Amino acid sequence: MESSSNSDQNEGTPTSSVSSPYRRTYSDISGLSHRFDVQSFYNRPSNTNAVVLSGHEEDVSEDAEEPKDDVVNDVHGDGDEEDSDIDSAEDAELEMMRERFAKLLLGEDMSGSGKGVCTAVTVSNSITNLYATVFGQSLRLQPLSTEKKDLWKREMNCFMSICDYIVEVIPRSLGTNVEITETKLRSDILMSLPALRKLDNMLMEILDSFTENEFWYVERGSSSMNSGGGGRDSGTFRKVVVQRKDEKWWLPVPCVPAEGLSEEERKHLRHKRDCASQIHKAALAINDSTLNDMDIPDSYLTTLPKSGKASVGDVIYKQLCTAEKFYPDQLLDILKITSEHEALELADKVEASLVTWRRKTGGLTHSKSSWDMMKDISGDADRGNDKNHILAARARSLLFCLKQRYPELSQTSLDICKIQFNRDVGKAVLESYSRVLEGLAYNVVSWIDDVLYVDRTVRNRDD
Amino acid sequence: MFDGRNSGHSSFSSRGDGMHTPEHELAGHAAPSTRRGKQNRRSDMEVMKERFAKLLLGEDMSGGGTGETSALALSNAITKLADSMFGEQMKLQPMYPETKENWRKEMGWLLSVIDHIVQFVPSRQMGKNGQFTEIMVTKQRDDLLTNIPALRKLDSVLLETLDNFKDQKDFWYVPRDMEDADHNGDWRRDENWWLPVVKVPTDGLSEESRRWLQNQKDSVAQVLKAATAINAHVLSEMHVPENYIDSLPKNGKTSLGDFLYKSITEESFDPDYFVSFLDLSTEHKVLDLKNRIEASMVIWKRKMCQKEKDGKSQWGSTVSLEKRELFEVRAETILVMLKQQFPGIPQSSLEVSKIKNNKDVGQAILESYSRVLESLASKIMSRIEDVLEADRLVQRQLMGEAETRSESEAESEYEETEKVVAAETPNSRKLSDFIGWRLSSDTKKHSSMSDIEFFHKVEQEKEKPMMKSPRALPKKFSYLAKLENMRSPSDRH
Repeated sequence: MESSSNSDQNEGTPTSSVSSPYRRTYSDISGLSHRFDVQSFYNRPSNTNAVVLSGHEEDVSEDAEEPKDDVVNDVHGDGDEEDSDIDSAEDAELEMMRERFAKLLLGEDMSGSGKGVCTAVTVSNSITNLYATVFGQSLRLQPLSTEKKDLWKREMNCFMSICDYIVEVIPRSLGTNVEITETKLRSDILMSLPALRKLDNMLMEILDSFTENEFWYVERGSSSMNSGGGGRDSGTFRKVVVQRKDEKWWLPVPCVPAEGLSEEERKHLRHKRDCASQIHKAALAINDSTLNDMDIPDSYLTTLPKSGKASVGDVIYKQLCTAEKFYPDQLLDILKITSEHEALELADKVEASLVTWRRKTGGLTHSKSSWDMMKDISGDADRGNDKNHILAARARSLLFCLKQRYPELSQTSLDICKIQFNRDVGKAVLESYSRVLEGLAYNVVSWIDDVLYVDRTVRNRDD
Repeated sequence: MFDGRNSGHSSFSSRGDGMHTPEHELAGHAAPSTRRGKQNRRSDMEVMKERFAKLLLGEDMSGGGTGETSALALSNAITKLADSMFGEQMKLQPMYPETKENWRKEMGWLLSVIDHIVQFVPSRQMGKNGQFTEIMVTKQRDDLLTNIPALRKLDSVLLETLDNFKDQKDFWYVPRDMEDADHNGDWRRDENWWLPVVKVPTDGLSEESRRWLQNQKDSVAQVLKAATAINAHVLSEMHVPENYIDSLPKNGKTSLGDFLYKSITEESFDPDYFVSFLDLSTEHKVLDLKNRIEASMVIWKRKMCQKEKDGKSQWGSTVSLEKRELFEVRAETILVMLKQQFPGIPQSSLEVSKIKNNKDVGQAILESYSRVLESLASKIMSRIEDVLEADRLVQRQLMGEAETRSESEAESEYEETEKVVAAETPNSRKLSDFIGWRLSSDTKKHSSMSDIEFFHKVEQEKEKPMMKSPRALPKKFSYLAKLENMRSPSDRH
């Protein structure tokens, strides 16, 4: 009974898609030409005990290395570092940073004519693209290569250093009659940026912890998969390759020994999964907070229909209107959402209605931020009887519930619009950094779930 | 939608990166060859981070996105860097090594942005089968390819000129207060109150020194001419901002005022005669005149464009197309003459507006770099002129003291010297400047008409040599001295 329930819950998770930033790397993945080492697989010594298979892990990112990284690699490889090597490396670093900054100033416009996007959007795009470059081909539970790790740290430091100069001027008293002004790091940056750095480091540590795994991977479509299947029947090989669901066609297939993973390994995996899950929640919270703080662009407001009912549709509108008490969970159950695409469509509609109803109450002045909007809803208890207020409050709770139920929902139309029109550099860094960490954390959780799923399948089959 | 947009940018950027190779690395652009400690290297990194971060924020510390565009931020950064490097250069002596190093390093950072401003051009590539295939390769934008190396060269020449004054003994400087104590009176112009006083030996400079100083001055004059030409060209390429156009009156007459309008629209027009009647006694008045003339030119140009576009009949207008074009040419002639006579004049409203509203990063760098080099060249010329003037003063005293010389003979010699100076300098500068300016003219017709005006002016000049020289020289010195303040758009301060 209990095991059956767990099985149902876990089966649901693998069907979720990866985060939106991750999807941009499809074309890169389809180009992969790495093949599993068949000879090595067949020659593996056969014995009844589990053997660590780290030798079979292929670092698919090696081919993607740039010549520049070799310089850094050489320096790290030297046991006895000489001054000239250090100078050379640091000159190279200075040069790379200068190039990065120069391109940021052009706003992705190589003609230099000023048609590029503004700095905030440039920085946001750069962080997103850097993430795709570094993690786009990282599809397994294994440490990141040294070159990729250094690239990530170096470039993120470049982007984050911009935030060091975003300050606010505050008065400070030096005594009874003397007061001066001093600069302090802007409060949202002061709070969130160190947190994101911490989450980043934790994720790196999780990946670093997967060095001596009991599980290994094969590429989908590899001939060894079919051979393995045949081998089982013939009794020659004892390894089992579990066919995975088609939804993740691009991911390599995790494999475990015939008797399953050891209890120790299983415990390790569950622990890392919990950590990654916590990181995902934290990154998501920071991302939501930053997005909520961004102004609603005029171009979004002008596209809204005149009534909230038109956005959300009759069925949902009726539910929001008539119920004495509103239970968003029940409404979501009734709606029977079958895909993430449907969930996203619903989120867009509910959000549009929310903004519309908020405007009608007069609480939403020109480009007011969402936070202020939220505060207005909770603060105006006296006007609780107003219809639009009730509708707005219920729409908000429905949206919140929807996001909880689908944690890896893509960005809504409003989110995308805010990011595109945002001019605040600090918010651009916070939003994009938290978003990519959110995506990476979610991926790690998914990959661990995949391994645990295969393990359960193997052990159930044996029983 | 957002995802697709990012993908597009990503692939485009990647392709550009792969194709682009930095071809224009110059000596001044390279990292210092001497080895330096880890401390200094780290410091370089931190300074560069700060410089670029502030540029990216558009000098808006709150990060809210209300800062300037990258183009304007870069322009301001170059202007401020030059001011901090050269603002204290009040003597003819080499820059401090540390200051020079900082100038080269930080300008290197700012100029590195142009390494990534490219255009795509077709190129033929030999395939493996021996067949040629046409592919697109990146090449630096044409205006940058031409002008950045030139500006770098002018930069080097100016710094070398200052280096040439190392260990010189022919003249020296004393603080102003010491000089005042000695003389109990000030023979210097008030405009230079903050400058140290240059001193020469009691018997004046040697002939060799005098010749050498003149040679240095000529060299810097060439730099000034070239930098001015590049700056004028870049400014002419910039778009006239809409908000400048919106602020204009409806017709040229209103902008010029009745007197100017009537003079320019007379049947016969003599630019020299016209200029001689203008009140050019203060810098403010010259600038105001410049603004009015430029405004009327923009108005007339726009009306001509509109007329050609509308296909409207000429007879329906108050002023015919040909006449308006003639007026514009005359206005331009006066403008050129003003710029020759007052090279140190602050930028006009149109120029300030163009710089502030420009979004082209390449143009921003070209304009600001040429402008700061122009200012530095003018400053060096003024300093050399001060030395030559001190020498002339001593020479005059010596001549006055000579008993064996007759009074008339001395005066005669002085007059001849003045004539030579007056005849040579204005002519050579005007001639080359005028021809250089013509190259940036919009249409051939304008050039043709201007040539006629130009030859007419030369004839006039030959007939009245004495009238011109006494008036021009004092004003020239007066305004050259004002170049102590680094030129930049006035609104920015």
